[in-house]
Amino acid sequence: VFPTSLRFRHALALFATLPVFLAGGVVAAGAAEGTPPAIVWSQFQGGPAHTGSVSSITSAQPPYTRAWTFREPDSDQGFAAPVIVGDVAVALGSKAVYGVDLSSGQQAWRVARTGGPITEPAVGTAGGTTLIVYVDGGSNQEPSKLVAIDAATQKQLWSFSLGASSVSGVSVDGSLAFVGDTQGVLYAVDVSKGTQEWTFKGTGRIEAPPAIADGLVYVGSRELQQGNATIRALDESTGTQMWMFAQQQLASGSAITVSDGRAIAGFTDRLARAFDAATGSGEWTALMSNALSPRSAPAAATGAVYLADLAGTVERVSADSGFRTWSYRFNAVRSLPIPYLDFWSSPVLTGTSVLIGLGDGRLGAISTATGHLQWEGDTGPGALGGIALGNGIVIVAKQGVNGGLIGFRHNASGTLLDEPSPTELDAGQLLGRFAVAFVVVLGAAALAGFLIRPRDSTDDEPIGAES
Amino acid sequence: VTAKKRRRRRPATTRAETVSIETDDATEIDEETVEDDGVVDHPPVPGILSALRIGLVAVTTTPLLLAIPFLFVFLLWTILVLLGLQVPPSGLVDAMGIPPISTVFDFGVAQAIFGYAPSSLFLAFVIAVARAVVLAILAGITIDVLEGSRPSMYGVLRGIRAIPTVVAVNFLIITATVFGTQLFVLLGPGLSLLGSLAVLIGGLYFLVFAPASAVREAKGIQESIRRSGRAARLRFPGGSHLIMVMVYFLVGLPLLLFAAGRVPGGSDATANPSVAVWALVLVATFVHVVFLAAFFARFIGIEPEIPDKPVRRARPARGAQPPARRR
Repeated sequence: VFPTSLRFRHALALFATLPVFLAGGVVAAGAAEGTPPAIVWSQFQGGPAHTGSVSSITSAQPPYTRAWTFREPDSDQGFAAPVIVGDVAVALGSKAVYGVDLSSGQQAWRVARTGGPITEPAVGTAGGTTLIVYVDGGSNQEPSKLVAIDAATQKQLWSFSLGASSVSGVSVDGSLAFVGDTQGVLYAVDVSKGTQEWTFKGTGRIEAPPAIADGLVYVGSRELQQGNATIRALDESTGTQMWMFAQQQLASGSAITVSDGRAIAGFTDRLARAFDAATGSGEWTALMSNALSPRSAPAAATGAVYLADLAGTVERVSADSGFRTWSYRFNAVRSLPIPYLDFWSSPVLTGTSVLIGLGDGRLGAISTATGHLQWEGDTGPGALGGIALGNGIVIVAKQGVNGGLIGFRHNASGTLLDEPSPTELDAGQLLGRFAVAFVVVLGAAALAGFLIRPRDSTDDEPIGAES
Repeated sequence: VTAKKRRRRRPATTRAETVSIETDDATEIDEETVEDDGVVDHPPVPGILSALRIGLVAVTTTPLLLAIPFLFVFLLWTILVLLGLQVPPSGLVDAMGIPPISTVFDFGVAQAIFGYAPSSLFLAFVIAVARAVVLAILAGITIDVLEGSRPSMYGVLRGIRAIPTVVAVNFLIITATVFGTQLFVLLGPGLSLLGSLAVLIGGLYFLVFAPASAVREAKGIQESIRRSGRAARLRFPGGSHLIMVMVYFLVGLPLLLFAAGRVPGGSDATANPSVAVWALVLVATFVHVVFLAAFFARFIGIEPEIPDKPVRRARPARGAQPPARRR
C-alpha cells in the first residue's frame, strides 16, 4: 500500500526538488569562482603561426561603422596589437594593461605596469585557468619581466625576469610562452609555473613575436651594427637550432608567418622570402614596392599570402610560387625618422576581405579576390597598429596622442566600394591628363617664344653660322 | 641681317658655303662655315646667362624641340608602368635630363621594378639607350636651330649620326656610377655620398659637349668624347664651364625633385599622374632642353679653340716664378 499521508507527500516533494536546488547551487558556485573566459584572438596575428585569421570566429565584414572608441587614459603613446579573451579586448599601454568591454568600449579592468616598451601580449591556458602573458618594464635598457595574470580575476600568477630589455612581444603555444630580448636571447617559459624551460642565445635584437608551428619556433633578429638579418628555426621542446637563414645588408626582417609548411618573412631589400618550414630551404621570393617592417607580419590563407610594406602597398602573392596576383597601393608612407618602426599594422583576413591599418590613421578593406578597395575609414591623426578580430567586431589599436582602441562593426546600410589601385593604368585618364598638360605647356612655351624672340637686327646673330 | 631674315633667305637645304674635309680614312671630320673670302667666322662664346637666353629662344621658337621630348617622356612612363612600375611620378622631372642627371632616374625606376637584381641594370641601360636616340636627334635639331636654320631633315640625320656617341656617353656614365657606387661604399656613408656626387658632376662636366661635338664635327665616338673633355677644360668667358655645370646640376636634381614633391599628388604612387604633375614634368623637361641648347651654344662658340691633341701643361722649372694670374 502506497503511503498517502499529507506529511509524507510534502517530504516526497521536498526530496524530488532537492536535485534541482543542488544543481542550481553548483552552477551558482561555478559562476562565482569564474569560468575561464574563452580565447578568441590569442596573440599577435590571431595565433602562434601569425596567419592573421582565426577560423572559429564569425568576423565582421565590410562596410564598417565605428562602434566605440576607447582612449588610452594614462599616456599618449597608444597600444600594441590587442588580444581578445571572452568579451574583453586586452591591450598593453605604457602605464598599464587594459581590459576593454567589447560591447560598450568601456574599461572593464586595468592592471598597472612599471612601464617599458609597448609590445603585444598573448593568452594561454594552464590548469583550467586562462592567463594573459605580457612584458613589463625594460625602460632605459633595464631588464624586462614576463608577467602572467589571470584573465578572469587579473591577479598576478607569476613573474619571470629576463636578462635584458624586451621589445619582441609574446607568443604562446600550448604550455609554453616565448619572448625574445634585445640581446638576442629567446626564452621558453612554462605558462603554468612561470619557470624557464630553455633559452637560446642568438645574435642581434629580437623585435617581433616568434612564430610557432609544427613543433618549431621561428624567430627573427637583426644586428644593428653589422646590418644582418637572421631567421632561426628552433625545436619547440628543446630549443635546439634546426636551421638558420642569415644575410648581410638586409638590415632587418619582418615578423614571421608560418602557413602550408612555409615560413614567410619580408626584408628591407623589398623581398618577401618563403622558406621550407622544416628544412629552411628557400622556396620563392616576391619583390615588394618597399621594405617590410619588423613589427609587421604577412597574413596567409590557403594558397595565398598577403603582405603590407612601408609604402602602404598590400599585395597578394601565390603561396606556391610567390607570383603577384594583385597589388593595392594606399600611398600612406610614414615620415622619418624611423618609418619601419612606425608602421606596426599587419594585414588580417576576414571573410573575403583583407584589412590593413595605415600610418595616416586609415583602416582599409581590400577584396581578396580582386584586389580592389572595398571600404576605407579614417580614424584621424595617429597611425593604426595591430588588428584583432572578434565575433562580429574588429578591434584596431591606435597609436600616438589619440591612441587607444577602436571597435568597428558591420554597417548594414553602408555601401561597398570597388576601386582599383591608383597604380593600375587607366589609358583614357592617362592620355587625357597628359594631353591637357602638353597643350598648356607647349602653348605657354610658344607664347613665351613669340614674346622674347629677338626682333632687332644687331644682336641676334646665329651661333656658328656665317655673318 | 637678322636671324629671322637669314632663316627666310637660307633654308637648311641651301646652306651657306660649307666645307667638308675628308681625312685619309675617308671619314668626314669637320664642317665649318666660312666667309666668302675664306676666313672662318665664329661668334664669341656666350656667357652663362647669354647661353641660357639663346637656349630659351631656340627652344621656345621651335615647338619640335619640345614636342619630341614631351612625347618621349609620356611613352617612357607608359611603358614603365606596364612593366610594373609603382612609384610617385615626380621622378619624371629628370626623365629627359642630360646624362648623368637622367641616369639617376634610370637607376631609380629600374630598381623600383626589378629590385637589386642584374635585370634592373639591364633595364637602366635600355632606358638610357632609348633616351640617347632621342637626345641625339634633339641635338641635331638644336644645333640646326642654333646655326640659324629651321629644323630640317639634315639636322635629324646629323643627330642620327651622333647616336653611337650619345649611347657611349651613357654607357660610360652608367659604368662609372655602378663601379663608383661599389667603390665609394668602402669609404663610409659620408664620403660615399660625396664620391657619388663627384661622379655625377664630373660626368656632366666632361661629357656634356660630346653630342654637340658628334653632331657638328662627326669625328667618331672616341674623338667626340675627347673633344668634349678638352672643351670642358678651356677657359670660358662669362662664367666657367664648372659653374654652369653646377647650376644645371642644382636645378636638375634637388630643385626640380623638390618642386615635384610639392605638387599635389606628386609624391603619391600612381599610374595616372594628375594634370598638375604632368605640367610640372613637362616644364622640367623644357628646362632640361633649354640647358642642353645653352651648353651646345657655348660649345659652338668655343669650338675653334679646342686643341686637336691633349694639351700637357709644362711644369714650371724649379725656382721659376709662377705665372701671374689672369684677371
